Amino acid sequence: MATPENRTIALDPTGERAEHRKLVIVGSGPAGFTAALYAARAELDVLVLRGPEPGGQLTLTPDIENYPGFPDGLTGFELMDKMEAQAKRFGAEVRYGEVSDLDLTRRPYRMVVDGETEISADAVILSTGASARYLGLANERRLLGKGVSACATCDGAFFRDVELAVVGGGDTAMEEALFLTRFATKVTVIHRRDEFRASKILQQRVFAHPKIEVLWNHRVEDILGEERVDGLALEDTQTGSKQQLPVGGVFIAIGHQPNTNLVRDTLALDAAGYLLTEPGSTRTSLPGVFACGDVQDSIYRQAITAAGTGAMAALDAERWLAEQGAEANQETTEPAIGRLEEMAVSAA
Amino acid sequence: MTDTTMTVYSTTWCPDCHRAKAFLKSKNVDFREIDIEATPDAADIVAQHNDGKHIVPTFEIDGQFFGNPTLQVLGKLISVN
Repeated sequence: MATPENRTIALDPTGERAEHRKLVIVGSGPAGFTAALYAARAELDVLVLRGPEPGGQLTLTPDIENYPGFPDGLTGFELMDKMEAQAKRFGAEVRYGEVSDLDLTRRPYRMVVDGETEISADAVILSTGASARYLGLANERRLLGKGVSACATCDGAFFRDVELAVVGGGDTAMEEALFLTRFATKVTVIHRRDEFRASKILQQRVFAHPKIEVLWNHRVEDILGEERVDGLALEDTQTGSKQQLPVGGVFIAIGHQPNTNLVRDTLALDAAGYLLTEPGSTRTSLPGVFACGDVQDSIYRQAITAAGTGAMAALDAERWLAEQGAEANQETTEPAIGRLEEMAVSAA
Repeated sequence: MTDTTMTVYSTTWCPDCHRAKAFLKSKNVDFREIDIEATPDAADIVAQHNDGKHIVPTFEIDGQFFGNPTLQVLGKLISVN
């Protein structure tokens, strides 16, 4: 992910060296691949850049039971492989690469991939997703990979026959806890409130599991251990009393933050830091730039809703590109502006 | 990339392993895969080269070990070799 410090490659000011595409989709989770499928079927010249985590967060999920059309469930990888194959079948090009810089200050928009290749695009769909949020403790960072993890399917099996903790109360926390019971002797779910916001079916599985214990109304004050995690310092949020919980590992599942590094300074964000889109559309604050999936969704964050907004983004991009083409031919901007106002009025 | 021997130490369930293997296949790179949960001593080899940590995937390329590099780095490693 680009940060101001590592933006060392200057964009070619002339843009002459850049490969040009009609539509570039940045990110390859359910949103990105669904956008690619729709855009490819609309016969747009579409390129998908997979990004640093091809397949997105869904690839961390071992069992997907709530994606319609797959009654027996499937793994995140299976679903993402299918989505990719479907997008490719209609002509989408899918490429390995991470956008290291994105220039949205003028059109065509331009981006640098892996710090070396430049690509320009008439329209851009951002489906960069979200990443795990951490507690923000110094020892959490120090012990990351040494007992601190945000991904049970990545690291779970390295914690065989030990006691583990999961911090959080949403679906991810439940899924992590249930997955970890394969390896751990006991899993304690630590939640700062007295109820979970996770779906009922997952809560029931957690409550019913003999290896899982729930510790309500506690927050993690610190993560303990020199070379490796050996325990947690906890505080009861009701009474203020403190205790230590010996664990061999702790999995943080307290939510996600949107991956907006590339556009933080150029696109409008909402109060929670997610990309702001016009209500009822995937339009961002710049024309021809659309956002879909978890990078613009602080509420639902499901594979199916990400895919849904992916379809919307492709349709929005297709319409916008058609309008641009019409403008170029007719040398008038009236139709586009009229439609924009109409959308704004109907959304308000 | 025909003379180089590459070994991927992995597990069946690890997302980064799946991604890395798909990446190598897309680049037509041959590799040998070792499931560290099913192969005696393999987990120890991985830990030995990763400060005691069982990092998967770990790549052994011509005797050198690399613990879960990014795909960008992996791409550089295979193009160099």
